[in-house]
Amino acid sequence: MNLVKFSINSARYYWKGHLGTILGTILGAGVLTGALLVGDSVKGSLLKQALIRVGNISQALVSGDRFFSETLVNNLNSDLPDERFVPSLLARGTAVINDKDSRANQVQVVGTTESFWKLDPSGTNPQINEKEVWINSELAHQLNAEKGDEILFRFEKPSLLTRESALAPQEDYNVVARMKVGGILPQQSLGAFSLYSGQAAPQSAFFRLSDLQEVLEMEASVNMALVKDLPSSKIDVLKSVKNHWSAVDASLDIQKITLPEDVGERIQIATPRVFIDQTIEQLYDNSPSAHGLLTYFVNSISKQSRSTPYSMISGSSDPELIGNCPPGEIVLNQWLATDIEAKIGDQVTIEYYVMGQADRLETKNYEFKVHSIVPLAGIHADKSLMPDFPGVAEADSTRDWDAGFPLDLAKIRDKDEDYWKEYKGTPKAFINLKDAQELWGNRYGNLTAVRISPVKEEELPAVGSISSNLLNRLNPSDVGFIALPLKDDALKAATESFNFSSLFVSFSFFIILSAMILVMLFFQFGVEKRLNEMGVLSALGYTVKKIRTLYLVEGFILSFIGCLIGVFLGKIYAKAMIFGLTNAWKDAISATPLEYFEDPMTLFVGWTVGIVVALIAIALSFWKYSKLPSTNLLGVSSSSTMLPESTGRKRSWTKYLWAVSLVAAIGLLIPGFSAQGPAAAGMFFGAGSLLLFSIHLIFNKWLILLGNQSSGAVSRFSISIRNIGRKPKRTMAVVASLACGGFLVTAISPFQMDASVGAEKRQSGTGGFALLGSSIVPIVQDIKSEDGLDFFGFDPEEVEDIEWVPLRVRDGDDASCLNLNKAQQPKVIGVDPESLAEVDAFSFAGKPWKQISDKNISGWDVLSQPLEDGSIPAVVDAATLAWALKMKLGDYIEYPGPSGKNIKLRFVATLQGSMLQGILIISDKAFQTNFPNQTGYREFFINSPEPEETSKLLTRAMEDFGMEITPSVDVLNRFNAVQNTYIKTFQLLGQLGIILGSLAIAVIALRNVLERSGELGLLEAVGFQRSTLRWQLGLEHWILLGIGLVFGLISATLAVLPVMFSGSGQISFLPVISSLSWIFISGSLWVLIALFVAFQGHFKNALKEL
Amino acid sequence: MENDTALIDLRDIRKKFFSPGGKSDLEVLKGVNLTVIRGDTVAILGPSGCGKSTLLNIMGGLDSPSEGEVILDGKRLNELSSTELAKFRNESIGFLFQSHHLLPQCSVLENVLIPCLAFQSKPSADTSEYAMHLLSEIGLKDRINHRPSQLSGGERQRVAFVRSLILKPKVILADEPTGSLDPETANRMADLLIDINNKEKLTLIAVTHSMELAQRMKRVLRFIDGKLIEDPS
Repeated sequence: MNLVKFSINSARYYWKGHLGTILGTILGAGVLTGALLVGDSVKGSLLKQALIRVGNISQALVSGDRFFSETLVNNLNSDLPDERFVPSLLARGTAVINDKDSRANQVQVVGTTESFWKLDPSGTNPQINEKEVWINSELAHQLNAEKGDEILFRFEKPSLLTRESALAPQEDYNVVARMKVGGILPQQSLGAFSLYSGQAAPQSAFFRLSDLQEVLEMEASVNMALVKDLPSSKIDVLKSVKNHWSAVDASLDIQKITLPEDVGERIQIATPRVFIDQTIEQLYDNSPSAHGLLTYFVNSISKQSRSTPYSMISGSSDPELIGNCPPGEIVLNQWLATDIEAKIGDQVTIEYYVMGQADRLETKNYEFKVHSIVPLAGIHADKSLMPDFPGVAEADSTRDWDAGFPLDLAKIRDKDEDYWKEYKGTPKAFINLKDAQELWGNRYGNLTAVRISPVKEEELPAVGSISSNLLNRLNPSDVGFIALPLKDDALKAATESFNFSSLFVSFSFFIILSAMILVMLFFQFGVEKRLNEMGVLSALGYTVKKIRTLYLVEGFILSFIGCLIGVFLGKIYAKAMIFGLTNAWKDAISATPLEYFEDPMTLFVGWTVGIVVALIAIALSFWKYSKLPSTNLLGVSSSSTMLPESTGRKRSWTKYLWAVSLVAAIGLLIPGFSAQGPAAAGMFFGAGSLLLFSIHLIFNKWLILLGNQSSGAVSRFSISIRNIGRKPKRTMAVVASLACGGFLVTAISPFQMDASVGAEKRQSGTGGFALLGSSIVPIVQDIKSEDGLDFFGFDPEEVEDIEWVPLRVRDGDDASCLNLNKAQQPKVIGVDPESLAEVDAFSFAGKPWKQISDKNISGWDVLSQPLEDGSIPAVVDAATLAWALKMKLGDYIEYPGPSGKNIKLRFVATLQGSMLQGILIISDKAFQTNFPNQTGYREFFINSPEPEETSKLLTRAMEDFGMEITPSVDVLNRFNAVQNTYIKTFQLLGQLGIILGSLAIAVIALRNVLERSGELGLLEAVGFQRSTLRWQLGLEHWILLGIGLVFGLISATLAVLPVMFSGSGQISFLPVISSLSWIFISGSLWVLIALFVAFQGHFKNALKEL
Repeated sequence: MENDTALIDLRDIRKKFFSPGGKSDLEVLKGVNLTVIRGDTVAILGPSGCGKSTLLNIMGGLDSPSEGEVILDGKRLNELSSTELAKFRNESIGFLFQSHHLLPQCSVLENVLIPCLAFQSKPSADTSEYAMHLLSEIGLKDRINHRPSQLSGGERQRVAFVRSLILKPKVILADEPTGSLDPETANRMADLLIDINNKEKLTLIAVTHSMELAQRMKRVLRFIDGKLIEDPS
């Protein structure tokens, strides 16, 4: 005999009585473990998807909008024992199957070799034949495509010179490819490949690398190399690139130029991108032999009425080219001087285009004084001074020019044509480099070439030596190379994903709570029958601690068994939840494929925590009894109605707590009516809670009064009411738990969001924009400008009323609630803050970051505010910042910057419930500076009086750009659907919990019957029928049920007042009433069952105890 | 001689009970004074509700007086911590109630040994042997593995009696020890109590309505108006 054996004996002896306790622990541990397993399953599924998405790829070498040679990839592989680098070409495009009238606007196209499929752990190895494309299941689904179908792909044609430059051709912006579907890749394959984590795999098409290179006219070039994952040998990708690259990989063209008439030689460092990166320019800043060159295409050079159209002007620091021409003066070649009849000292005017505000083409003029006139010979007749302007450089005739700006060919005279034919783009004038950079410098660069001259009598260095010297001093990241740690990021995104365990634990809170209440009540029920045992043990010298230990050990035995069974029940619960998430609640996880996963540790945690929680419930159930004097426990107290002196008096301050709570509720209510948004909701919710508390206290006082009442009219109803007051604490426990449950389930209902309510308001989540556009090919034209109207073929009246706010886009992870992965580098958009400030679009949540708010800056102006450390101010949706990024105002995220250095995007303000979830918003200006390689605009806020018509108009006109227009309400509702589904799930599981919790009232009914069995026996003896007694007791408990639910409903109604008045959410009373009715019905049913069971015994036996 | 010294000394014991509203507060014990010497046997008589059991509980440290002092075996009970009091109760006092209060989940032997577990993880071999000896003495040797439900009322009360003796207490406090027994069994129970007093010189205080039991005690006290009066008879 020892204490454990004693407890085991007790557990065995009272096993029938303990069944309820065990049932509660099974339920509690089951639901808890199940909720944790849902988290395991979400995480496991995300990890699986992440590994499918990146396969055996550890890193991706990408070069943004630049290309590098396949040779570089071969060279990278040359040092390695096997083929670690896989050359690939990544493009965006649209796909159409004309026969099926199906279309996909956002298609990722990957051109690659067979080596790519060796990175697929699933073993998928498609044999992609020439002119054939394999598509993933997502694209196949979108296009309704089958093997053998013909798909028409349309891509943005890669442009070496950014299309935003005033000099870039605009017409030839896309290319098409007609491909036959060779096969459809299975879902669980590298067909899901993506550089970024998102809620679903992108719609992807896979070409042979050579086919895509041909289509894009980028022979032997790639823009991505994927690195095979070998954990045993990590590769420093950028270092390897530096060891193997050549000038062409850095987008450089280095060559020796022999000047006309053999007057000398130069080494020219230029780029097919026209403008040289500033990092390269800086490398030659202090070199005496290097001279910068900036050649620009001007519309005209005029002296009074005489004008020469369309000419090149070079700005240079080379004295041989400009002599000692100071800023403000110009050197003309003889041909030009003759043409416009200019002489030294004359004023000439040049007219040129630049990209102005909002990327509108602007015409500018500048006046120079003629410094000198030089013959069109030697260094001044050098055709190579003109960079390879696309659409111009290769033209044989001026008539073939395709410049980025509108050309008036009528202005071109025969002699101009003759000049072009003989001298091509040889500049007709030369200016000081400082002037040139001031006029034509831009974010892509301030030079079109660097020219190296021989120093004094020395020979010009060899091209190879210049090239290797330059590449040694340059870092690959300086010219846009980025090594993305694809696998690490993917695994990090999955492992740091949204915690569904805690979400479902909170969703299941009411069930767990109900289970624990049941554990408490059942164990207490058992203990109450054994109170004299406690008394005996106490009388025999057992300390309170010892007695508690005995009961805890007994409780542990029950919990141990219950939780063990519960863990297995948890698996079923988890699978049911997963079924719910993949069916009825699928909006909560968007398109994430979900499978069941279990971690043995989770089962252990569920079991252990279940035991601990059950033990707490058990301890609470008997704690008070173990402290009672053994005289009371043994039933030998002098008077059961008499209290020992220490508990005979109440503390006076608690008497007025109800009034304090009521005043506090009113105190919150008054400012609540004038507050708005979440603040108002919070105040009303607080007021509702306080009112609930106050009502409970008032009810408690009434119960005590009821208990002491000694006279009154006698009726069955009045007796029921009197009986309610017999055990005030017990009655309060029932009423409070039902009221709290009813309050939460009801009060949370209006938090369901419907974006269509007030969507037209500027302060709403749509910002008042009816439509959200997204194009696959960047759009650089302003649709309302003359240029834009002409380009898209709009009538001015058609677009007159359209509000058009273009957004620049830097692709990234989706950080919205639709993506369960933790976004590492979310998508960034650049917006002109003024365009949003003008219309006061969107609502900001609270104050901006302190450093900003201290300067009294708010609204969209925060984006234009320079920050002390040079970081870039960013605005983000409040929910994204808090939940997806798990950050706060003042925190920042780093992105690779333009010159190889990381840039910081610092959160300075948050938006309230906007459709911009998952995106970082910075100013257009900051975007252009920090993401210069992202050309044009790919997303658009659109508003018009007739959104449907506008949507059709723009979709049709911009079809080639892959324009997809979605109603903003739909976008916002996709996000809202997640929250709404969470609320629905919480309500459903909450109702289940409360229904289960209402079982408590049955236990209490049982206890009441057993305690009053003597009284009932007496009533039976004096002629009451059993049915009458049963009805009498039923009435008492149904009154309790009703009171609890009505209290909850009253308080909840107060909490939802702001929603009722503002109309910002949707209140549907029907489901609320329905769920409360279900709770009432289930509770009533439990009571009936309990009374049926309790009335099986004979009360007359109890008469002896009276 | 040790036996002649006072084992229990009650000094001006008062006990009040409060009603919830405070209107019907009740003073049950109104200044009880009592000295009991070692080896004495005392019967306390009185009508129901007069405070006999309350006094017994106060004497045994199960309840505390509103006023006054209880000195038992030289210890002032109100100065002991709850743990010290429990230990003192365990070692020095044997309780015997009207209802046997045996634990239904334990066998006869286990019920007898339960007091030993209050401060030890398991009973010593000597104690187990002593339990067997006592059970044998009262004729329950063959019933040691039986459950209380398998015993008669008298047998249960005898087991409870053995349980009160197992740790060799200094005093047995018996609350209506024969109250629930038929006359014959009650008589045998009384024999046992007197017998143990004679053999072990164990002090015995019994609250009872039974004159038969009271007459076999050396001292008889009566409760009158909240005070104890020595019965001259």
